[in-house]
Amino acid sequence: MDFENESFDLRGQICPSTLLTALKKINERKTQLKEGLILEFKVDNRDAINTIPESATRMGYRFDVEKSHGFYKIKIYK
Amino acid sequence: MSSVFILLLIIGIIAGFVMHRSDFCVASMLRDIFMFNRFDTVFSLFFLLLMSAALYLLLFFTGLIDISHPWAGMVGGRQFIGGIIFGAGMVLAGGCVIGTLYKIGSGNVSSFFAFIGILCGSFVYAVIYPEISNIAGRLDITSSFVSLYSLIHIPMFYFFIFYLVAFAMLFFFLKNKNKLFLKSHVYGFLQPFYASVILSFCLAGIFLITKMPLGITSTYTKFSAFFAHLISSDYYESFSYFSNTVLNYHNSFADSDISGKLGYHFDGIYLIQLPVIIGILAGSFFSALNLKEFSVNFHIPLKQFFIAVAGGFLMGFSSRLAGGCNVWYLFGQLPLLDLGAYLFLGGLLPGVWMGSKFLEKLIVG
Repeated sequence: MDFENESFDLRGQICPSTLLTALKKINERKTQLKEGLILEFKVDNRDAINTIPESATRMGYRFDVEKSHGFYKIKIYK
Repeated sequence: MSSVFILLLIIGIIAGFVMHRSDFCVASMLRDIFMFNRFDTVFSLFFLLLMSAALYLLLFFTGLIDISHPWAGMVGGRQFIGGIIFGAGMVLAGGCVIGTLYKIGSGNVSSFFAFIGILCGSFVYAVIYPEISNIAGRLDITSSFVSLYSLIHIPMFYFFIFYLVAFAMLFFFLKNKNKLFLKSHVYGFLQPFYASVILSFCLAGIFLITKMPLGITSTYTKFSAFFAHLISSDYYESFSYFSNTVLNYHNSFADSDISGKLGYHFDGIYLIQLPVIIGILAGSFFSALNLKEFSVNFHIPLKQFFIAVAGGFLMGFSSRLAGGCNVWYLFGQLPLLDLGAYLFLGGLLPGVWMGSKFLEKLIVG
């Protein structure tokens, strides 16, 4: 099944909320991620740029991190 | 005096730069233990404490600093209760009193609101100071400085050796487990291990110049006094808390007497704390700008603004109640084995646990 990729802007949030919100979004879309959905998070919190991919890996997902203008894009996919 | 200000400003800039590059956040180090069962970042806090303790003793042995605490206040329940509230507050605010600063420097809007919360918390403490001071006084154990150094009769040199050995053992243990250095995807990342060593030298440098451990929140209280004065000078004068003299000592580095009150006037407190605060903001700003990561974003869920302000409020209030914040007790007094620091830490950890659980409920539901 083809999905349109989903993007979430998590910039400016307080420290753990960035990770907690990202994990919540990932958990809510478990089935779609298995079927090919790619989630993209825009993040400017340096800690979360490390912890989101780390947590996603532990959950069995793959990731890409790309630097953009003043923030990072993290893509999570199966 | 201007040399003191400039030297502290330079140290502050270095500290701010280093904290931003390594994301050296005490709140997240402690919070992640309870929230995510993550222990790898808290080791840098251990490195910082061990190295600071060793450097403080080295400066003491060479006669450059005194660790007999002319600045000690009342010690007792206020540190424990203050520690609990502070721990919960810094988790909600997403950073402690200096974590908030370096995050503001990189453009984080939530941290700015947490800072406003700290000022509000300090101000509310000043408003209810006479009442709360009476209640807290009933829980006081002593007004003198009590350190483990003076209680157990072991030469301080052995403590110095212990700190260095413990530092080396932790270093080799983590190195062998391949856990000394963290993986990172951000540009310009400075390993927290290196950051902890640099920051411990910054702390020792501040101790050497000011002749006392780093303090921050008295200046935040002076900021809140300034705003109270702006509202009305009569209103400001009605608070006895702002006329309290909290600093009065001879600084041998500057060869002058330094004193300070919690009121808004420029005095010794501003002289020794403000340059560090400005420096951390500037250092973090330079770092973020250099990495092209400085960004100000206002599109934040409204709930998070309130969480940040509430967290800041709790930190501001509790640091006044406890007579110091995490910087004062963890970075300054704990390496000096102070009883007040143990009580603060004893409260801080359950506070962080409570804050973590509460925040998880608020965000995840």
